[in-house]
Amino acid sequence: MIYCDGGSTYTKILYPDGAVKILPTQDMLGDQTSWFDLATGHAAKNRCGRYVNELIALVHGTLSLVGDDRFTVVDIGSRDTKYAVIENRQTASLDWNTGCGGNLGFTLELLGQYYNINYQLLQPNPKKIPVACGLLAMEKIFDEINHGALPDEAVAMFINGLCFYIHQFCQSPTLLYLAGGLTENACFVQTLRQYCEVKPLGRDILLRGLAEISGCENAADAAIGNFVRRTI
Amino acid sequence: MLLNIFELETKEYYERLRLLAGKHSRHHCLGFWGQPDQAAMDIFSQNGYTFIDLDIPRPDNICPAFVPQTTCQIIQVILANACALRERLDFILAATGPDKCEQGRQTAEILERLDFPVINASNTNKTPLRASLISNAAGPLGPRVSRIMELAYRPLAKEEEIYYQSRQIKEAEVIFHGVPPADLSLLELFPDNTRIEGWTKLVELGVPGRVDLEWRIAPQLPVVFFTQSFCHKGLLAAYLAKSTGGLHIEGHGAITGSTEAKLQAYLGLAGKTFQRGPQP
Repeated sequence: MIYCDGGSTYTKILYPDGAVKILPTQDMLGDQTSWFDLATGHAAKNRCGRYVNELIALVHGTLSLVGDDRFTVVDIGSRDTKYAVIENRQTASLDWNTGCGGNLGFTLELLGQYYNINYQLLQPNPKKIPVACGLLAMEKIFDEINHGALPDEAVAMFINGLCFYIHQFCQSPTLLYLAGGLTENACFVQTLRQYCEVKPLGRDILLRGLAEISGCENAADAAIGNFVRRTI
Repeated sequence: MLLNIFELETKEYYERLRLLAGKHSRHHCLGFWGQPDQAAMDIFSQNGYTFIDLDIPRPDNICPAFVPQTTCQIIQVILANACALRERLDFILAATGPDKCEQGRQTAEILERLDFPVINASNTNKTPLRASLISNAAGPLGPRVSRIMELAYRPLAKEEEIYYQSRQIKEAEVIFHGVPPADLSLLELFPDNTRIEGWTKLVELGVPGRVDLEWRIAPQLPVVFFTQSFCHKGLLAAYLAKSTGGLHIEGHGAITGSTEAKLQAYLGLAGKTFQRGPQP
């Protein structure tokens, strides 16, 4: 079985030997031979034998890793954010922002490339820029720079606003399990910790959900089984 | 405004309405939005009028340029339809109170100033006119919602009553709470055992202005609250969804793939228990 999480910007693929490959989604789409047994994510919808809703994959993947009875998990993608609140191992509530993708991972990547920012070294900023609308927030970043802030400082303010918004969007939990590419952005994770305890799950959690759904952890494929059985 | 239900004594209002409806008109065609006063609708029905629901999107009708894009899609549709059908509409029955919304009131005022023949026929009825047979019947949600919206000018036939009566839901799987979406394809995602609540059910009962009833829900069932984007009902829906574990969905025009996915996830996960945790 080959599993795929086809995100808007990056595609994550889990092969039968347990290897995970991450590549730009445009490369995956450009390869006309790309085909997956089980997939999630908008980009892979027409490239698979069976498709699983992203939020369902997120919930299954997280529940396979986290033993708590109640917790909140959020997945921040390039263009949308989705969370689920689990109570008594059931989904008590969920939401998926679908309106404005301007304040999400893709914007951070663009800003990082434009200003040549290393997010592993960027220091969190206690000030924040309101990000209710990502495009308006971009304008505020440029305003801050025009008023003398360094680009690094202004982008860190944007990240702070983003973390504030995400924490509120997830109903202000005290502990947040974080999934998606931003788990690898040190400045983002540190800034989010100003608002709650954060436990990063990595960016392969949806693949884990697919594997869990397919029940392959019980199959003979040991490599996949080991992948699924990783604990935190 | 040709007539205003809020400005005349009831008897005088209906007498003058009968006179208007009885006069020779060009097309015998009446536009309306929301669920106007039933007696007013009945007067035009008795005079053989054809009804056009201006809430329903029709391709190619263009909203006037002065309308902000951040206006509820239904209001934009009403204005676009009214302008496109100007030559065919003899009268427009306008719902302007709590039975519709504040934007309905503004829309009536705007159309009146644009020389449309507007009659304020807001629905102030507080006593149910019929049971909620369709809301509580099993079957595809879209056709049921559409049928409810036609009740104001096309009452249930006897055989329809028997049909819906025979399909009453004993245990609903999910509740749809809210207004009909501009994009009805959203409703195709719901299971047949979906019970209708909120404003749509109030329309079936014939009490669209009893908005206090919109707050009554059964929190033991998964509830999907639908509102148009930029609608004042969004606050109610957001609060109720968060306080009951429901899901608030809003739409502006065509339903996006992300909105569909969010609904599918909610319907797929609601009420399901996952016992398995991390493996040793």
